[in-house]
Amino acid sequence: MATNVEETYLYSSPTTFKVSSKDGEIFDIDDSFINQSKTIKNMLNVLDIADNHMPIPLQNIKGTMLNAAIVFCKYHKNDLLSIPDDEDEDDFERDAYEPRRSDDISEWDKEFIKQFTVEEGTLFDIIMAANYLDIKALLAVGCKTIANMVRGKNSDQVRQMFNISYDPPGEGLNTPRNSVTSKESGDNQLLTTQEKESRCKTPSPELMYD
Amino acid sequence: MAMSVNDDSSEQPYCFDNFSLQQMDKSSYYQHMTEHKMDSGYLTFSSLSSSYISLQHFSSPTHSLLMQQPSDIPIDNERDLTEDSIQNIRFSSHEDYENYIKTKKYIDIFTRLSQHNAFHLIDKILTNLPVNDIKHCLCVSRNWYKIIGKYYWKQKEHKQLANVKRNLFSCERKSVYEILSQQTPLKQRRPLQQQLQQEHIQHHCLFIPTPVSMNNTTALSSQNHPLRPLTNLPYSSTPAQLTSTALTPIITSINNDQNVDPSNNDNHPFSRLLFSPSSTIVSPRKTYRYEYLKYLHGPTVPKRCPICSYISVVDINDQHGICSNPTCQNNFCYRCSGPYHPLSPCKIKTGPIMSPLKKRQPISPIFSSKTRTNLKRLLLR
Repeated sequence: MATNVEETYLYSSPTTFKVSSKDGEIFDIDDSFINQSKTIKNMLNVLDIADNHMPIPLQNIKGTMLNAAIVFCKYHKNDLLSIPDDEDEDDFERDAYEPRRSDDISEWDKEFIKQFTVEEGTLFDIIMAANYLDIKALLAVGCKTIANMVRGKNSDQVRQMFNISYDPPGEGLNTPRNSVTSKESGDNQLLTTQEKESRCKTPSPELMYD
Repeated sequence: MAMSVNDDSSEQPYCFDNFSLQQMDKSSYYQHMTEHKMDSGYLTFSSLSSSYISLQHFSSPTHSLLMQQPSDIPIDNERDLTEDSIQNIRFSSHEDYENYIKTKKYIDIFTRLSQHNAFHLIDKILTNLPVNDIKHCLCVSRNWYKIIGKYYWKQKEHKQLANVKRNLFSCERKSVYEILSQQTPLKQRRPLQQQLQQEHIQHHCLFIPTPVSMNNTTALSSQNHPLRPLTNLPYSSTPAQLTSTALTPIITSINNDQNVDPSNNDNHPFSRLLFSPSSTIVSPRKTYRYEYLKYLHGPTVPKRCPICSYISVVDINDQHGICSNPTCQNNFCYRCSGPYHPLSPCKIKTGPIMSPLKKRQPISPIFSSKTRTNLKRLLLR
C-alpha cells in the first residue's frame, strides 16, 4: 500500500527533484525526465526522499551529459507515450536478421546530436548515459547515428573516421621501435624483470578513460 | 599528443617529456578544453584529423613507421621534422610509447563498448546495418573482427538457410497426375506407356490413372466381395493414399473380373500391378513421411517430439523437426523445443528434451571393471 501512495504522490502533483552529477553540478528535474528514465523512477519509488533539497547522486554521468539528457526529455515530453516498444515483442515469424530502418530520426534530434562528436568521445558518453538512465528514445537515436555513419563506407574510410589502426596497440605494426632500443640495450639489461614487465605492459583501459 | 602545438605554446607551454601528461594538472586541462567545445573528460584533442595508418603501408611493413604522418607524433618545437629526427623522437623508449597510446585520440566505439561489457548496445547498432556494411566493419581492425565476427557469421548462415527454405516452400505442390501431364518424357517410351494403359483398361481395369476408374472397379467388385465396404474410404479420397491392406481385395476383385472376362487368363494380374508407372501403392503413414521429407533438406536425425515424445525427424542444419506421428504433426525447433520459427533466433530457453533412455544408470564404483583393474594396478606397484 505504501508504494501506491508514493506513486500517486509522484504522478499527481508536479514535483521537482535535484540531481547531482559526477562533477558535482546540481540540476533540477521535472516530471518529463522522471517518466522517461526508468532508473530514476525506480529509485524514487524505492527510496523515501521526502526532502527535495537533498540531491540524488548519479556517479556514472557527467554534468554536461546530464544537462543534455534533461534537454532531450523536455522536448520529447509528449512523444514517448505514443511510441510503442517494438523490441520487446516476441514474434517468432519476424525476421530478426533483417536490417531495421535507421532513417527515422527527426530533424530536431539530428541537430541535437550534432553537438556530440565521435572525435571527442562525447557520443559514446551520451549513449552510456542513456543506457544508465534507461531513456529508450535517446539510446535509439544514438545507436542509429553510429549506424548511419558506418553505412555505405569502406573499411578504410571507417578506419579514417574512427582513427583506428588495424593492429591493436603493442602488436603487429604498432610495436615500439627496436632499432632505438638496441642502442640502449646496455641499460635494458641492467633492469630487473619487474621493471621490464611494467614497461612492456600495454596500458590498462582504465587509464585511458580517466 | 598531436594537438596544435603552435597555438598552445603561447598560452600554456606543454613539455612532452615522458611523464609530462601524467603529471599535468587536470584543472588547467579542463579549462583549456572548455574553451573550444563540450568536455568529454577524456584526453582527446579536437584539432587532429588524420588517419593513423592507411592501407598503403600494409604492403611494406618496414617503411610503415617512416611513412606515417608527422602530425600523429609527439613533437618538440626545437627539433626539426626530418625523417631521422622523427625516427629518434618516435618511441625512443617504452614509456614514450605508452604516453603516445594514452594520449592518442581514442574514439574506437565498439572496443570501448565491449570493454564496458555493453554488448546489448553493439546489438542495437548492428541491427540497423545490412550484411555488406558489417562485412566492411570486420576488416577495420583485429579487435573489431573479434567483436563483430559472431554477428556476421550468424547472420550469413541464417540468410543462406532462409533463401533455401523460401525456395522450397514457394514451389507449389502438385499431384502426380498434374506433373505427368505437364512433363514431356522421352518420345520412345510415351507411346509404349499409352499402349500399356490401354491394354490394362481393356483387359482388367486394374491400372488406375484416375480415381474414377478405381470407383468403377469397386462398384463392380463390391457386389461380390464381403470385405469391400471396409476399404471404400482410401479409394475414394486419393489414389496416392492406397493402402497396402487394400491390396488383397483388389486381387480378389481381379479374380472376380476374370470370371467376367475369361478371354485373358494367361498373364497374372499382380505382375502388371507392379509395372504400373504412375500409381504408387504405399501406406498412408509412409506417404506422410515422404511429404515432410521434401520440406527438410539435407541430412536428418531422429529425435523425440517435445509434445508427444514420438519419434520425429530433425534437420541437422536448421534444427527444424517434424513429428512423424500423423495425429500430432508438430513443427518444432529442436534447440528450444518450442514452435518452429524459420527466420528468428530462439527466444524460449528450455533446451532440447533428451530421451530418458540416455540417462546412464549409476553404477557403484566398487563393482565396475575399470576400478577393479585400477586397484589391481595400484596393488601390484
